[in-house]
Amino acid sequence: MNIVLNNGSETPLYKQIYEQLRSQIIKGELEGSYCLPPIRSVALELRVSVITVKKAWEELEREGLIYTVTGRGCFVAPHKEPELADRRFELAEAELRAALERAVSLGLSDSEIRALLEKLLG
Amino acid sequence: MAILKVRNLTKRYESFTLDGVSFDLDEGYIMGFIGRNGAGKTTTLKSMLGLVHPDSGEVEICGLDFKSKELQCKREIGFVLGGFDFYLKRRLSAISAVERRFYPEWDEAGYREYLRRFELDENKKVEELSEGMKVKFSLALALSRRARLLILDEPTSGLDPVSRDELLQIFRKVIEDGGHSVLFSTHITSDLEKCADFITYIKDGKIVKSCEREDFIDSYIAVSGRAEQLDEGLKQNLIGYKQNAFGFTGLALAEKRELLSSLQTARPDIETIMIYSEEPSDSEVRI
Amino acid sequence: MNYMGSLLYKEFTLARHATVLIFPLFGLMLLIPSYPYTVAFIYTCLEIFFIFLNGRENKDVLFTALLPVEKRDVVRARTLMIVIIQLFNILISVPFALIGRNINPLGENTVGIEANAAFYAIILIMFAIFNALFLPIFYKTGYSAGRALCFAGGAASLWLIAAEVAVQLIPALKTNLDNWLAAGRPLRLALLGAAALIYFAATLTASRRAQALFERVDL
Repeated sequence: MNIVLNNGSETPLYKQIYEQLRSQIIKGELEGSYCLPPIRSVALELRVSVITVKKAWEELEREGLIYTVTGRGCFVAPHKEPELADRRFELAEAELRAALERAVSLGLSDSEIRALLEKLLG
Repeated sequence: MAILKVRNLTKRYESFTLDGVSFDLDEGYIMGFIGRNGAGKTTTLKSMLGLVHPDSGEVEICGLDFKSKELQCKREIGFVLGGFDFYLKRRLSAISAVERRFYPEWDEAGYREYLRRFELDENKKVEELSEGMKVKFSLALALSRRARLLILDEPTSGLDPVSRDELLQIFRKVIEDGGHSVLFSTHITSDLEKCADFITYIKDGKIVKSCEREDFIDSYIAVSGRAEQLDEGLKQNLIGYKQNAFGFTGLALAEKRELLSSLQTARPDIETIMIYSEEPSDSEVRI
Repeated sequence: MNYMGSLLYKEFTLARHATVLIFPLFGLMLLIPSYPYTVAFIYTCLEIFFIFLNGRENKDVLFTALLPVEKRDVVRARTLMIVIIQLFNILISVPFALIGRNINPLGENTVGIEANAAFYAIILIMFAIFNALFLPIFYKTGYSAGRALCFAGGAASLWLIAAEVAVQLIPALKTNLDNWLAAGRPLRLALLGAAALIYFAATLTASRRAQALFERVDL
């Protein structure tokens, strides 16, 4: 499990934690039934408030990426590979869409954007 | 479970009224108490500790009514009122010798550890300490009492950034076990962004909001736009704004988001929220 | 109340003033062959004033109120400290009074009452007056040390002057009180006993009143 926080970012800290764990889970880096460390230890370790971590955990749980066993902690939910692949696609799509919208708002045409994407893909 | 319950605390002075202050703090969390100088932070904290007599209102510490169980309540509290400016001519060792007699749970090993970590020399007299050192000494005492609730009035204001960071990490360490809580008032809003779970904002003796920090921030939006966009209609919808030669910036309640769709919006920080709430515009004041 | 010992420890380690150690030595004045011995105990009143003044400079009241004690205990502990200091200064002086009497080359104190039981009765009443005024006046605000000294010190001094003058001018008092003769001893001892009662009653009442006043103070 890796989390690197950027204090200067516009993104709220809980969201940064959530996004990083989400990507590690859907990339399969964190395997099913992996036990996440206690919320309070993570808060101390990352030097953030307890609720920040709690909120990130709640988001992950809401998406079904982790689950809680009362008294034992939080675990990564077991996922099958095709399901994770779908999640990866969804996520990439959402982010590309946002980038696309920004490009459009800068006045780039469809063909220009296509060319740019080709160029970036090398 | 609430470790601290404040209900309707009211205190009337000639020129200032603390007006029905209520908030809760749960076990295991850190709450930042913010407001301008004179907004009522210290009066609230002092009323909670029985140093100031509220005209009405109740305070509960660990489920005990403060008024009727003052002693037990005080044993659960580690209180830091700014720096340590008591008994300036006495040595630190003389002061800790007194403190430890009053707290049956006194943690001597922990105290020694804080002295070491804060580089405090017990043979020094209080008057020989810098402001920052005084705050640290106060903290070392409060932390060694093993109090379940730490109440600190502006503990960070006299400290340099490195010491502040160290202090915030101590706060997080204190609450790590889930049984302790910290309530601290501050002007330094970046400290809150780093460690407060909850924020209680007091303005002119009244609580504006007391909630989770993210919810606090998310209930506002920062806006900016071109000068001509700032018409009377828009002004009515803003908590505050500041104009300059090229445009304006302002703050609004998040629920008014739809009315502000023509403007650029962003997530404000706590400082921005305070500034616009306290000083709505350069010329006029509106709430 | 089991922390009263700790509070007294605080009073004598943190809140004490240097004069607590020095002023009891004014008991030595009772060795002077002829002297208005009552003066020695005016210093005790000053000593107490210094403790309050020093306390104000060092925010003693706030420090104490923040400890896990009841607010009234701030006053209770200080009252106890005052009583200890006053009685201690009296006790310290007793041997000097006795020695002074025996080594006095003049045979008697030519400028005031002998340092006998009646003298100590006068001193105890002076302390009673001092405490009765000082405590309530100071604790009405928690900081009016100067004001408290003006009234309490003034009244105590007036009492001393009145008592000394009465002993010197009223023949019945002069014959019975201003000497060491056996004839007046029962009266002198009775006066001392009565003064002790008045001292404790006045101090206790004043302390209670001060506690009630202090309870209302916003720190």
